[in-house]
Amino acid sequence: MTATTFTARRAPAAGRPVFAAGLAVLALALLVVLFPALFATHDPDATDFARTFQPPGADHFFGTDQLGRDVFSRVVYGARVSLTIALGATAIGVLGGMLLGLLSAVGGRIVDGVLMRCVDVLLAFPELILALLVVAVIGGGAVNIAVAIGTAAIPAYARVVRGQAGTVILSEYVEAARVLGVRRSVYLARHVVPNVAGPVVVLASIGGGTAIVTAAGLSLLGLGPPQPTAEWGAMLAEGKDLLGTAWWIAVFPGMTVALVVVAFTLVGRNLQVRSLR
Amino acid sequence: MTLVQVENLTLRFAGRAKPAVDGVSFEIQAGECLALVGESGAGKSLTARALFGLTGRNTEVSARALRIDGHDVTAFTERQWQALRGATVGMVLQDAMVSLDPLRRIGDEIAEPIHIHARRRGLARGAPAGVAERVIELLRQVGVPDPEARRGSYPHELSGGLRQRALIASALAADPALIVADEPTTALDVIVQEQILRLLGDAKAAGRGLLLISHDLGVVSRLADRVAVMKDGAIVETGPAAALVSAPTHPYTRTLVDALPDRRPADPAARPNGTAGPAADVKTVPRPDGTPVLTVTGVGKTYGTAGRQRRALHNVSLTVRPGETLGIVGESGSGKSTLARIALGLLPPDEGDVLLHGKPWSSIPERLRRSRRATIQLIHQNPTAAFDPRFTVADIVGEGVTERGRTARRARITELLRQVGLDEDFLTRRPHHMSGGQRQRVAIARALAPRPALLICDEPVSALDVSIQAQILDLLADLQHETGVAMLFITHSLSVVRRISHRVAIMKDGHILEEGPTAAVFAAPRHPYARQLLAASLLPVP
Repeated sequence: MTATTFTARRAPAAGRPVFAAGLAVLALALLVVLFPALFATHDPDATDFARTFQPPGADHFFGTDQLGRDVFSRVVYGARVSLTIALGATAIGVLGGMLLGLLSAVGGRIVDGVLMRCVDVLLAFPELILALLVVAVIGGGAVNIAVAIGTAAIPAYARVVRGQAGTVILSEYVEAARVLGVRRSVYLARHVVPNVAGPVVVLASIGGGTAIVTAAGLSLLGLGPPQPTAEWGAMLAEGKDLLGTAWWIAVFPGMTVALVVVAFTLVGRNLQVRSLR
Repeated sequence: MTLVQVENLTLRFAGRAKPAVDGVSFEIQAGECLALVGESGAGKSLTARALFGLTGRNTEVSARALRIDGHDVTAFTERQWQALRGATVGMVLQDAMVSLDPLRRIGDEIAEPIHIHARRRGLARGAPAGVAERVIELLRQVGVPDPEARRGSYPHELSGGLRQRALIASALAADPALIVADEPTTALDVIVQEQILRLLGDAKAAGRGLLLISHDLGVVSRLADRVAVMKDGAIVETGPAAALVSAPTHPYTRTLVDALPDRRPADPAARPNGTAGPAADVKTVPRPDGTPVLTVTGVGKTYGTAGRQRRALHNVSLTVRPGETLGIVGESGSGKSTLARIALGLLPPDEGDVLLHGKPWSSIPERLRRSRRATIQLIHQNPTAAFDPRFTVADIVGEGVTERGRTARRARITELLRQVGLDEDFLTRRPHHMSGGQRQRVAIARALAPRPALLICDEPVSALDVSIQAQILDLLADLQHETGVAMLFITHSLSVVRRISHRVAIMKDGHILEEGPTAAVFAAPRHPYARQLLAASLLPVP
C-alpha cells in the first residue's frame, strides 16, 4: 500500500545566502560611513615620507602610497565621500524622476508627449556622458558631481514612474477613490505615490551601485572632490600611474568599489525578483 | 472500458503541511461524463492537471494508482507525458481568449496537435496530407459557420462563442479518448453556453470520456452522469447527477444546491438551512412617485478614432427611483459597463444627458460633481483589484467615511462593517487574507460609507462561488430594505437579476431591447433576443 511519488520536489528558490551576503556588505559599508574612526588604523591624510610605498603588511593592511599615507584608512574614510555622493545622486534621481514621471502621468496628452520625448532623447545618451555634460556646466567638486550624476539618472526613473503611475491611476482602487469624491492631489499622495514607490526603490538600489561607478569615473577624470580628500575614484586616479611599482595603491580602492557595487546589484536584483512574486 | 482510474491521489505544494488535493479517487468510463464540483480553491483544477502531468514545479504528487487509457502514468517521463497530451487526453480551458495564441490563425492552432501526433506516430515529417480538410471538418463539427474562411481568422476576430468552439476543436483534433473541460462555459453568455454544452454532449455520445469541472451545478446537471463534490481538496460526496441534485446528503452539497438561484424554495419554512430566501429578496417597495435618483436620457457613446469606430451605446434611456433595483442584463460587450461608467460621471457621454436627483450630472465639470459624489457609489466585480494593496480593512472603509475625528470615524467604520456582517476583528485585516465573499462585503461597506442614494453594482457576484453569491445578494437586498438605497444592478446572469431586481432592462450591442417589471419580462418577453436569452437560460433541475 505504498504511494508512489512521481514529481520530485524542487529546491526552494536559490539565492537566499547571496542576498544575505549582499546585505551584510551594505550594512558593513553603512557602519564604515557612519563611524570611520572605528575601522581606520591611521589618519587618512597624515603623510609620512619615511614610509612611502610600503607594501601591504601587518602595520599597513593595504600598504602606503607615494606620500606615506595609509591606503586602508584612506579607503575607509573614502567610503563616506564616495557613498554619500552615490546616495545623494540616487536621491536626486529618484525624486526628480518621481516628479517628472507623475507630471507626465497626470498632465494630459501634450505634457506627457513633450516630457516623454525629452526623456527618450536623454535616455539615448550613456549616464556618464550626461553627467559629464552637467559637470561641464556647473563645475566639479563633490556636491556638483552628485548633482550631475543624479540629474543624469532622472530620465530613467521618470520613465519607470510614468509607466507605473499610469497603471495605478487606471486601477480600480483609484477609480473607487474618485467615485468616493477624493480629490486628485489626495489620491495621488495616498494611492499613487506609495504604490509607485516600491518598484522605484528596487530600481534605486541597483542605481546606487551604478552611481558609485559613475562617481568614481568622474573623480578619475579629476572632476571629483579636490586633493587631498580620500575618495575611491580619486585614489584610483592617483594609483593608476604607479601600478607597476606599487599596485596596492589603485587595486584596493578598485576592489572596494567592485565589492560594494556588486553588493548593491545583488540586493537590488533580489528585491526585484521578490517584488515580482 | 475504464479510461481513467485515479486512486488516492494526493498533491502537496512544497513547504505546505496541508495537501491541496487530499486522497481523491475516481474512475471515468468511455462515453461517460464525470463532473468535479466545488468552490474555487477546492482542488478541482489541480486534480485535472494531474491527468496531464502538469501539476507544476514545487509540487509533490502521489497516488496509489493513476492509470489513463491503460497506461500506468505514475512513472511517466516528460516525453511520455507529451505523447499522451492531446492524443489521449484533450483539454478545454475556461477562457479561449487567453488560451488561444493571439498571433496564430485558429486553423493553425487546430492543426498543431494533428501535426505533432502524426510525427510522433512515425508518419512522414512535414504536413501530412489532408490536414486542411481535417481542420475544416473539425470546425464544421463544432458548429463554426463557414469553416473554410474562419480557419484563417485570428482569435480576436471571433466572438467569445466561436473562440470557445475553436478551442474545443483543437482539443478534439488529435482524437483524444478523454476530454477535460475546466469551466468551459463560465466566460460565456447563456445562449452560447447552451450551444457549447450541446457540443460537449455530442463528444460524450461519440464515446469519449469527459471530465467536467465547474462550480455551477446548473451546467453540471445538464451534462454529467456522475458528480463528485470537492471541498478543501477532498471529495465529500459522489453520486449520479440527478440523485445528487435532488437529494444531496453532505451539508456542503446541500449549500451548493440551495444556492442555485432558481432552485431556492419560495417558502422560507421549506428551506433546509434557514438562509434568507428569494421571496424576501425584493423587500422594498419602490416609491414610484419620488423624483428618480438617476435619469439617463438618450445617451450614446462611441469609442475609437475616425476610421475604426465602435459604437458602445445607442440612445439609451432609463430611470432608477428611490428604493428600487433596476437590473441590466446582457452579454459581455453589450455596453453595460460603459453605461455604468457614464452614470458614475467617470466617462462623458457623446450625446444625451444624465441627471442625478433631477439635477445636471454628466454635463457639469468634475469640480462641481465631486461634492455630490457621495450620492452615487460603485461596487466592482473584483473587490481585490478595487482595494489599495497596502490598505487594511479600516483604511479601505475609512476612505469613504465622511465623519471627522478619530473616535467618530472608528465608530462609523465599525458600524458599517456590522451592517455587512463583519465584526471588529476585520478592522486590521488585509484583503488578501480574506475570502472572496468577505472582500466583497468590505467593498459594499465602503460604498455605503458616504450614505449614497444609488449603488451601481457592476457584476458584484460573478466572481464569487454560488454559495457565496446567494449570501451577497441577500445582503444587498437587506441593505436596500434598511437604507432605502436604489440600485442599478449590472449582470450577465438572468437568475441573479431575477432575484434582486424590481425592473429589468435587457441590453445587446449598446441598445436596450426591452425594459419592464421583472416578473412581466420573464413571463412574456417581447423582443426575439430576450425570448432566446430566456429560453437558453438553464434550469438546473434535470
